[in-house]
Amino acid sequence: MAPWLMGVAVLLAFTHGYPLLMLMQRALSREGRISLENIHWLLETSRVHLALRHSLWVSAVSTGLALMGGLVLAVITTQTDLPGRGILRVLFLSPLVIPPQVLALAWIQWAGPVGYLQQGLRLALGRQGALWSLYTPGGIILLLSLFTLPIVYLTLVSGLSRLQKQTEEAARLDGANLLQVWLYVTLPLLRPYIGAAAVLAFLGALGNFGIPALLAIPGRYTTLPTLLYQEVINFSGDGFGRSAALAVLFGLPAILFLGLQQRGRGQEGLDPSHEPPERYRLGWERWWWSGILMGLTLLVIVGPLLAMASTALLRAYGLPLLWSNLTLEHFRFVIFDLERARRATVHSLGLASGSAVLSSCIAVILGYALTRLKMPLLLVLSLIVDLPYALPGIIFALSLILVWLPSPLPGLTLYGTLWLILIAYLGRFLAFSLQPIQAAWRSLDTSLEEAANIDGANLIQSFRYILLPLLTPALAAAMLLVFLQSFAELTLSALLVGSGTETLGWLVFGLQQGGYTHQAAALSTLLVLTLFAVAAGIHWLKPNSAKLSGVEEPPRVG
Amino acid sequence: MRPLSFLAVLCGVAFVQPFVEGSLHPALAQPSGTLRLYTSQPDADAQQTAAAFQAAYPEISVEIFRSGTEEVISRFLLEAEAGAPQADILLIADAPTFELLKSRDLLEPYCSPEAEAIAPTYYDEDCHYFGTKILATVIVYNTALAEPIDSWAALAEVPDAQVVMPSPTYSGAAAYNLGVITRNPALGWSWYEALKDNNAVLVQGNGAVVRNVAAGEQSYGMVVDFLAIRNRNEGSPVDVIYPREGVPLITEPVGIVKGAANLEAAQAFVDFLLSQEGQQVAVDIGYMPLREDVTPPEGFPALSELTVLSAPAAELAETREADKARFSELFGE
Repeated sequence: MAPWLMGVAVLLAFTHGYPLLMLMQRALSREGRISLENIHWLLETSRVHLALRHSLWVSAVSTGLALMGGLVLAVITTQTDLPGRGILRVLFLSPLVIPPQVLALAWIQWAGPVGYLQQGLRLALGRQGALWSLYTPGGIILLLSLFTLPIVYLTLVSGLSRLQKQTEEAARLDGANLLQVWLYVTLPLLRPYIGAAAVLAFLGALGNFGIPALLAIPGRYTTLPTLLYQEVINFSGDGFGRSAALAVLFGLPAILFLGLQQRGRGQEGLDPSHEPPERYRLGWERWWWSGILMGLTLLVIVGPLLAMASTALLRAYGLPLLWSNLTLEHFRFVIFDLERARRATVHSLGLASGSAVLSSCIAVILGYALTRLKMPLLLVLSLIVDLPYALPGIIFALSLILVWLPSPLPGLTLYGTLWLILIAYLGRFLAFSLQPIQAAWRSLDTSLEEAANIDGANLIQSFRYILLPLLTPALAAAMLLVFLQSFAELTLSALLVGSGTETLGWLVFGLQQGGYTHQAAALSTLLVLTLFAVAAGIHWLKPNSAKLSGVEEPPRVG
Repeated sequence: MRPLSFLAVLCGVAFVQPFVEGSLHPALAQPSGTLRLYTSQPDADAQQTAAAFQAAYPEISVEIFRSGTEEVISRFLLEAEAGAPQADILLIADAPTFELLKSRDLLEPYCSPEAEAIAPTYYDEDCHYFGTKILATVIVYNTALAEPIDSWAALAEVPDAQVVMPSPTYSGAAAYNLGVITRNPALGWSWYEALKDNNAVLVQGNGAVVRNVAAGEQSYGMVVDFLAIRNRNEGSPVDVIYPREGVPLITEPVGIVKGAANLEAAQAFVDFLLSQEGQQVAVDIGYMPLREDVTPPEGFPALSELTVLSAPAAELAETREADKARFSELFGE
């Protein structure tokens, strides 16, 4: 494994280490000289403290919400016979392909002060004035948790799918009731995955700029990403140094989480035989539960998606939803007139597949090293993998420019090419593949490899025939996560895309920024429809629809 | 013999060339090669501008980097700082921004002959940058919810969080307005204080202002005119008012980057944008032109009818950060 590991380390040095070092250097210098002024500014400015507190609070609460929601959803879709679970799964995955800015805008149109939901309720209740406000910490938390829920869900599903049937059955035979099985058997077994999901959700919520940009600015609720953005554009003075210093703050929670995560390790009892557990049969009450869940879905997912679709269909912003105000013009524009849409689709497909495959390969090697080798240096590696994901995209993109503009490798100019965007996506999304895959490595007992070794299998053989099949659910989840996130990636692209290297996220960003709200909504609606179509296609092609999320679904029970 | 014949050919070419290629721009060899343009114009607009330019100069191919104003500037500054500016020409933001670039010695002066047709207030006297269009900040209001008002003073008195404006800490255009309005004796800081007392709502940029007013979240907004006019023309329930005190203007200047790889093409681009033809392209896209000899698009007032609120660009550039800090403290952002 050693040469492999070296290769990965060298790669990481370019995708993660060097850019982060450059940021660090900026944070610690002013006008080219080493200085602690930026750090002083961090420590002394009360707005920074306030923003840090706000950000930690909304990220922590939304992580908690997303974990709970994700767990319930994961259990329902993989372990019960609840009607409509397939639809639930795809619906809750949809925020992955919608850029956060567009998602937040859809929410404002759905549940904002003059949104469809509020207006409808006001009419029904006969009340005046706002019933609630989205421009509050509560609104930000709600949206951040919806935004991170698919990540949690996919990570947990890959863990749940490998729960050992016998362990649960043994507990049941010993007289434990369902709740007890869950509390004392299932949850502890899932711990590595829950940890992984929590890290991803927390860091994702922390670094997200799109949602606070739409909700926190009107609410005057300063968060770290909005503060950092203010400083980045504060280009006349020491803005960049300050924002680099702010970036350090995004690293602190990452370190904290990492420390916590390192403590829980070496879980056993996940099923090497890869036999999925039986589904719980819910009986007639399942229709009740299904109804309640569908209602909730309508409220938090379907409603906003419909609001987005209505923007895409309305002739002009602010018109009532009447037949005469609807038009397909914006869809026509996006599909036929937007010359670069096709090229951008090809680029985004390539970049997303590339970063999904590459990051998973890296994560398999790195995850193995992290769980098996226990070198202190590796801890640093896993920290720098998480960091770019926690940072707002704009600052990570700027640090990549710092690195690649005078190319660090003589004779190799990647600046301005698709390769640099690939590097950027790899840098940003590697954490997505590393977390579930590392959790999977952790839950695999070393005895398996040892047994294979004793039987004379070499490294490649034992990986190919023993370990890879066991890693598959996590691998599939990781690839799907990275693919979907990079397919619609927006903030890195906004800085790195140039002429000839357009991506879909960049297109949405450009439309949104230029005031073409309807067209941006149309493009996002098309992205969501594509996701649904792909999910439906997989469902039709294979009765085992759960392949999409890396779950081996058992034949229906009963 | 070879050097001599080379010289002869060279002389021949020099003599003949103006007559052969000079039909469009006499006395100048046609510039060619790649022109790298950094702009924050909406994508479709940037494409249209580049296409019109390429039609006039078929030898030049334009490569565009388009993003939000803030993204374009931060990328440009980093590249310039690394000693490898990737752009030949910038078409972004406002005059104070270009003043900052000028003070950092990042711009190449070029006195375009076309500038004669433009009022001197719209370009740098040392020829570092030239305005290309007029973006006036005006009042937008929801026609279904509110009555028109005619002044900035009245806007500040609208109660109950019914006014929305872009935050100067995120939007360059709003930062420009802040500098201009606080220097105006009739408005000043007390105008912003009144807005604050009436709970004016801050959003990230101009796009969000129009959206909020069109949707009816707020009744009035402070916004760049072309966005509001475009929405009105599409059918949104909004209309614009040019307040009687006057309007702050942003000119989206164009400037040549110091050390531009293709200087001739960059100069040709400046000439083109300022020419009658180039200004007509801006009008076709839906912008208000700078030249008086080009008719503004429908719905815009003539340039001569506008009362302009302005302040010296260099001074605005100097105090921008302090203004923003004071604003941010006032509004408790």
